[in-house]
Amino acid sequence: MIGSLWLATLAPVLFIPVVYLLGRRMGKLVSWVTLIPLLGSTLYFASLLGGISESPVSEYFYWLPGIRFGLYADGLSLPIVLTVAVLSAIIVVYSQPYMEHSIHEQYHHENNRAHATYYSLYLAYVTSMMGVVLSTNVFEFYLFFELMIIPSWALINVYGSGEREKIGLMYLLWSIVGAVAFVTGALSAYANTGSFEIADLARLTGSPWATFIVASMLVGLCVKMALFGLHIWLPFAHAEAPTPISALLSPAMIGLAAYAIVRMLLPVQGVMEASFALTLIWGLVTMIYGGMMVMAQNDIKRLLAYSSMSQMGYLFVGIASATTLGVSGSMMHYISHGLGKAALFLSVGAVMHQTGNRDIRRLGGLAARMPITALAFLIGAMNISGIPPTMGFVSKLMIFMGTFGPGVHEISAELVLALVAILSTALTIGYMMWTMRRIFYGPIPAHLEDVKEASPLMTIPMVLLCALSILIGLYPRPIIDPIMEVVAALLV
Amino acid sequence: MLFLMILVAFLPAPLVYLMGKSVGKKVSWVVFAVLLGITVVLGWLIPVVEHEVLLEEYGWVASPVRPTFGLLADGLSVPMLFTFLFVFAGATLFSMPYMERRFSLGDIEGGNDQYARFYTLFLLYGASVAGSMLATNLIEFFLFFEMALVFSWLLVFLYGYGDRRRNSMVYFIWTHIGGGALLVGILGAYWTVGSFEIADLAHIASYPNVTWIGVVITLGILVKIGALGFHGWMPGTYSESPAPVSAVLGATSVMLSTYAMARLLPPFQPVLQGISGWFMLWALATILYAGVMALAQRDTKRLVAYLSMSQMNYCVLGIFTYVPYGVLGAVSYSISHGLAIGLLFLVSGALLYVTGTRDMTKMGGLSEKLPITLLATMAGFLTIGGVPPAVGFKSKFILLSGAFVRGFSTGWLELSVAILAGSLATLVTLGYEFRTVWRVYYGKLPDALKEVARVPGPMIVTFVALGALSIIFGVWPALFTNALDAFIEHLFH
Repeated sequence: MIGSLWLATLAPVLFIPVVYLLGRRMGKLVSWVTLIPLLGSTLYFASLLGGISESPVSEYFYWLPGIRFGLYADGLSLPIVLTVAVLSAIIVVYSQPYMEHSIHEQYHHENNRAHATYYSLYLAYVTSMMGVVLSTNVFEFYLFFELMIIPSWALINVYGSGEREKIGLMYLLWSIVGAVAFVTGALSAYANTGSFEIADLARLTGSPWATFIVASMLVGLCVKMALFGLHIWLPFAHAEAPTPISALLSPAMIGLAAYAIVRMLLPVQGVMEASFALTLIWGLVTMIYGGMMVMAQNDIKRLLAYSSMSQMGYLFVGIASATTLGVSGSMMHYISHGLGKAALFLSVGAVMHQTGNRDIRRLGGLAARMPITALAFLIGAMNISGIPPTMGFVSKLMIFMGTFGPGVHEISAELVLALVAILSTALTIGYMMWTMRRIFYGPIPAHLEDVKEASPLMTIPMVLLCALSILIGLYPRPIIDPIMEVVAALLV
Repeated sequence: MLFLMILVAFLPAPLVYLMGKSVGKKVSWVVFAVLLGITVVLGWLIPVVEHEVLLEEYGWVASPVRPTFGLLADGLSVPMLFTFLFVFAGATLFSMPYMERRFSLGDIEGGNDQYARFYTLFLLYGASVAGSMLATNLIEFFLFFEMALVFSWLLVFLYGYGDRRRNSMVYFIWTHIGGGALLVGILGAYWTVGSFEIADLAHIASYPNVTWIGVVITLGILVKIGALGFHGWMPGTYSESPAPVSAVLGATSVMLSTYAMARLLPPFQPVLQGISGWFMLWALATILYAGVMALAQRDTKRLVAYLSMSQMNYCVLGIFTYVPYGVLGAVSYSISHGLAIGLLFLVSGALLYVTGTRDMTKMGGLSEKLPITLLATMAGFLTIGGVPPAVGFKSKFILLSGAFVRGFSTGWLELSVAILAGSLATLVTLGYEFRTVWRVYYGKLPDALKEVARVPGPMIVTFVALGALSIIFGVWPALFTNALDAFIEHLFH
C-alpha cells in the first residue's frame, strides 16, 4: 500500500495546492515553502542509502484490477532518484533570485501568480521524474514519463526566452514522438509476456519479437536522450528554458532515459549485445557531433545544451558495452554529469543574471569579478571532462574500462571504436576549458567593469553542487558498490 | 429504485414546460437539479454494482411475445450513465448564459416559450438516453433509442445555426437508416432465439446463420458513431447545433454506441471473430481520415466535430479486439471521451460566446484573457490525446494493450492496425490538438479581441467540474473500473 516511499515521491505534488495558494500571497518567497517537500524527500532517500544493498525497499498497490503499481528503491534506482531530489532541492533555492529577475523582465511588475505557477509546475515536474526512476511497472513508467512532458513544456512555454512558444511546441512534439515509439514497444512487450511488470521484460529473451520491441522502446528513450538524429529539439529547449529549468532538463531529465535503458532493455539478453558495434557507433557519433557543435556556439546556454548531448553519447557508449563496469560507469556518469552540468548551468545563469548578456563574444575576464561563479564553472567543467578529484573522473574511467572489456582480446573493430571514444574525451576537455577561458579569463570588456558576484542565494547552490561532486569523487564507494551489484544482477 | 429514477427523469417534463412559460430561463435550474440528482444517485450506485447486479422487471404486454419492461443496473451501465448524465448536467448549467445569447440572435421567435420548449426537450433527450442504457429488452432499448433520436433532432431543428432545417434532416435520415438496420438486427435476433430479452442473446452464436444479424446490428451502431462512409451527417450536425446540444449529442454518440456494442455484440464473438479484424481496420481508417480532416479545419466547432468522430472510433477498434482489455479499454475510453468531447464542445461554445466568431484564424493570444478556458481546453485535449493525469491516458493505454494482444495473437492485419493506431493515429491527434491550442491561445492577440469579455460564471463552473472529473478518474481509475471489471469478468468467463 501507499507507504513512505510513495509519500516521498508524491510529496512535491501534494504540496502543489499549498505552494500555489501561498504563492499568490507571498510571491517569490514561496520558494522556501517549495523547498520543504523537496528537502523532505531528499533526506528520506538519503536515509535509505546506508543499507540499500542488503534491503531494497518496495511498495505496491493495485491501480486497476490486475495492474500493480509499485515503487522500488534498490542500489541502482536509489542513487539516481537521490540525484534528482538533491538537484531539485538545490536548484529551487537558486530559482528565487533568478526567477524574480526574469518574471520582472517579462511582466514589468510584481506578478505573484507567475511565481505561484512556476513553483507549482516545478513540483509536478520533480515528482514525475522521481516516479520514472522508481516505477516497477511499464504502464506506470510510461505514465510518469508522459507526465514529465507536461510541466516541462509549460515551464518552457511560459517562462522561457526567445521564441519560447514555438520551441515549447517543438519540444512537446518530439517528446511525444519518442513516447509513441516507446509505447509501441511496451504494448508489444505486454502482448508477448502478458505482464506489465518491468522485472518481467527479461522474459522476452529469445522471443522472435525481442529485437523489434527493444528497438522501438530504445528509439523512444533515445529521443529523450537526444542521441544523434533524434536531438533536434534539445539545443533549442535547453537554451531557451529558464536557466533553473535547463539545469533540471539537462542533467536530471534526459539522463533518466539512460537509466531506463539499463533497467528495462539490458535484461533482455542477446539484443543489445548483438548490436554492440552499431550502438557504440551511434554513441560515438553523438559524442563527437555534440562536441563539435559546442565549439561552434556563441550562446553560452546553447553551448551547454550541446555539451549535454555529447555527454549523453558517453552514457550510451557505456550502456552499449553491456559490461558491468561500463554500465555502472554510465550510471555513475549520470550522477556526475548531473552535478557537473547543474553547476555549469547555474554558473552561466549567474553570469547572465549579473551581466544581462549570454553572447560569449561579449564576455571575458569575469573570474576576478565573480570568483565563486568562475570556480563553480571550473569544477563543473572538470566534472564532465573527467578530471580528478571530481566524481567525473571515476565515472568516465569506469565507462572506458567497460568499453574495452569486450574487444581487448583481439584487434577488432570494437577495440578501435573504444579507442576513438577515449581519444575523443580530449574533445570535452578542450571545449570546456576553451569556454572557461572565453568567459572568465582574458581582458575584461569595458561594459563589464562594474559586474559584481551574484547573490548568496545563487552562489551557495553552486558551491553545494561542487562540494558534492568532489566529496563523491574522493570516496565513491558508498554509491559505486550498490550500483555495480544491481547492474551485475541485471546483466546476468 | 431504477424505475423511480426513470420516472424522476421523465415526469418533470410537462412541469418544466408549464413553468418555463411563466418563469423563462430560470426553469433551467429545475432541469439541472433533476439531472444532478440522478447523477448523484448513480455515483452512489457505482460501488454497489461492483458486487451485485440490480434488476427490476415489470410486466408490459401480456401476449403474444411477452416483452417485459425491465431495468438493469450493472457494472457497464452505471459508470457509463453516471458520466453521461454528469456531462448532461454540466451542459445544462452551461446553457444558461449560452441559450440566452442564442435566443437574442433574433431568428427564433417567442420569449419564455422558447426556454420552456428547449429545456423540456433537453430533459426528455437525457431521460431517453438514460432509459436505453438501462433497458433489459431489445424493443425497450430500441424505443428509448428512437425517442432520443427524435428529441435530439428537434433540438437541432429548432435551435441550430445556419441551415438548420437541412442539417437536422440529414441527421434525421442518417440516424434513421442506422436505426432501421438496428431494428432489422433486433428482429432477426428475435426470430432466431425467440425472445427480445438482451440476456437471451447470450447463446445466439450457437444458432445457424446468425453472422448477418451481428453484422447488421454493427452497421446500425456504426452509423451512430460516424464510421467512415456513414459519417455524412456528423460534422454538419455537430458544428451547427448550439454548444450545449453539440456537447450532449457528442457524448450520446460515443457513449450510447459503445454501450450498445458492449452490450449486444459480445455474444456474436464466435461468428464475428473472423471478420472483426476488418472492423478494426475500418475504425483505424476513420480515425486517420477524421484526424486529417480535423487538421484542415478553421472553424472551432467543425474541428471538434471531426476530432470527436476520429476519437470515437477507437471504441469500435477496442470492442472488436474481442479481448478483455480491448473491451474494457473501449468502454473506459468512451467514458473519457464523453467527458472530453462534452468539455471541448462547451469550450468552443464559450469561445463563440465571448469572441463572436468560430474562425480560428481570427483568434490568437487568448491565453492571457481566458486562462480557465485555456485550462479547460488543455484538460479536454489531454483526455482525448491520452496524456496523464487525465483519464484518457489510462483508457487508451488499456485499449491499445488489448489491440496489441489481439494483433500478436491473430495476424498481420490486426497487428498493423494496432501498431498504426498506437503510433500514427496518436501523432495525428496530438498534431491537431496542439495546433489548435497554438492558434487560439498563443501568438498575437488580434485588435478585435483586445477587449474580449469574461466567460460567465456558470460556464466556468462547468469547465472546472468536467475537467476535475477527468483528472479524478485519471488519478484513481479504480473508482469506476472496478465496476467495469466486474462486467468484463462476467463477459469473458
